[in-house]
This record gives sequence, structure tokens and C-alpha cells, in this order.
Amino acid sequence: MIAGVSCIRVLLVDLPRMLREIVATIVGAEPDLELVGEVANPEALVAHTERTRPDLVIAGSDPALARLTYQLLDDFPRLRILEVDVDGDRGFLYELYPQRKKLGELSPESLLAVARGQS
Amino acid sequence: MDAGDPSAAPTGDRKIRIFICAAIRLYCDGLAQILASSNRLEVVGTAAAPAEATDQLRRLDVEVLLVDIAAVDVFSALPRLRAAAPEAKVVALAVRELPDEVIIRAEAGMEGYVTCDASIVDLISAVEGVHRGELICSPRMAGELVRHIGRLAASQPSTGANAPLTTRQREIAALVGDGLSNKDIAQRLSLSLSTVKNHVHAILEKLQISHRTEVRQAVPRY
Repeated sequence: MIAGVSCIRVLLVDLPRMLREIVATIVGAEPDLELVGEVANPEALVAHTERTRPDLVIAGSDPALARLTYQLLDDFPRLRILEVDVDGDRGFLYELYPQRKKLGELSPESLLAVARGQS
Repeated sequence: MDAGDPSAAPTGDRKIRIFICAAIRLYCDGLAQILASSNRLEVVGTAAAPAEATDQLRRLDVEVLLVDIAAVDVFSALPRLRAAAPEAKVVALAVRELPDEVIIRAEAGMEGYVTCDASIVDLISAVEGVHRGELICSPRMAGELVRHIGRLAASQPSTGANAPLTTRQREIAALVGDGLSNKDIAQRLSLSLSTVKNHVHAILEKLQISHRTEVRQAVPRY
């Protein structure tokens, strides 16, 4: 995190442990990104979002997430949600006005581009 | 990251040379990035597909091969990977949940097995473990191994009467038959005296004789 510069705040939700650590390391290595929390249970996502105010949620593929996505985007219109599929292979980006954008193959570079709103 | 520091001080003199074969880029590139910062491992190459990996493996001196078994046809690809790096130990990374029978069959061809629910510290430990010659397997595989050993033990009497002598036991039996003492045999074969005694005891039991002087007559059968 760079002092005096507004960082992109990232919250991780319900990712398999190894993938969570990989993503946390990728995010943590970037000076303009800040990891604000890791949540194991999607049901706790709303409360964590209210508390940590992330710009981006990176979440595992979970049926509960689909339901929560629209609630979150209603409550936090500037929030972006990157859903990572169960293998960690593909990603889908949700933004207001609830839309789902297919991103194709994910890589560390494309993940960082999503975090920076460049995708 | 809450799983410890993968760049902790090395426990050995030299880094373990590891190659990563994984089709999923977040795992392949992400793990390469993280493990490269470790003082214990050196990532010498990565590949998304076995065909690409075998070309590199033939040129690289790889000690441990980390391969995503969900992304490849393990039963055809693994032998090819092993042939390209015959000295390398294989650690399977199961990114996706696989049926038990697939895991058990796959594990028979590898030294280590790690799921995506493991931490990166766990993964590094598995790599170091197989490099030391240990077998890192799932509880399911461990259970299958124990059952297999049990079936073997039940079908093949290996220590009781009428069981065949092992190569070492035949060697010792020949020396006993020549009249050498346990001490002489221990010196001749560079074994400890207690080891020789144990072998002689097993030989007498298998041959169903009560004294070493009877070994000469009994041994020609073997």
C-alpha cells in the first residue's frame, strides 16, 4: 500500500485454500492493491462488505454468491465482484447494472487487470 | 497470507529443483511466482500441457515434478512425464475433486498427492517430503495401501514355515551350511551380529529345522 494514495481494496470470499493464498499473494505484491479481508462463508459477505468497504470482491463459485451478488450491487453500487469458477480457470465479472461479463482464461495478469478496472 | 512464510530459511544445502505442469494459469503461474520466492525450492520451468512439459523435462535436471492431475489424462500423460524425467519424484496437485478410484489409481504412479484445500506451506512440505523419499498420500490411498498389504500378507506366508527364503537369507544359509559362525557371517557380509542372528532364526523357522547344523542338508532345496 502506498502512503497517501488510495488503494484498490480487495476482499476474498470462499476460495479453495491454495487458490486463496495464491490470489492473496498476487494482490499483496501490488502496491496499488490492498487485501482487506478473507471470508470463508459467503453468508458473511454482506457484513464483511459493510465493514471493510472493498472495491472488489474476488469470490469462489457458490450458489449463495449468485443470490448475494444482486443484493451487494444494490447496496454497494460501485462494488465489482469477480467470480472465479471452481477450478480457478475462468472468471466472471459482475458490476452494476447487474451484468455478468465473461472474462475467459484467468491469469495473474488478467486478475490484476480486473482489480484495476482495466478489463 | 495466513499459512506461513514460504520463503523461510532453507533446511538443506541446496534448493529442490521443481517443475510445474498445470493447465490452470492461476495455479501454474501463481505457484511459480510464490515458490520462486522460496529459499527451499527453485522453479526451473512451467508448462500448461504434458506435451510441452516433456520437451522441457528432457533438458532440465528436475527433482520434483508438480502436476495438476485434474487437467491431464493422468494414466497416459504421467508415464510420458516420468519417462522424460525418470529421476524426478511426482507430486500430484488435485485442483478439482476427483472420484476415489481415479485418485487411488493415479496415486499409484506418484510419490505425493495434495489437494487444493491444502496450504502452500503444506505443498512445500509435500515437495520436500517426496524429495527425502517419503510417500505423501491421501488418507484414502493410505487406507488402500494398508488393505493391499493385508491382502498380500494373507495370501503369501513370508515369515512362517514353508515361506521361501529371501535373497539375503539364502546367502546367509549358504554360509551357515559352510560352518561359519554368526560373528564370521556378520563380518563377511558387513552386517551387525544381531541382524545375522535374526536372519538365522528366520531361516531355521522357514526350513522347519531346530539347529544350524541341519541347514546344509535343508538349503539345497532352495
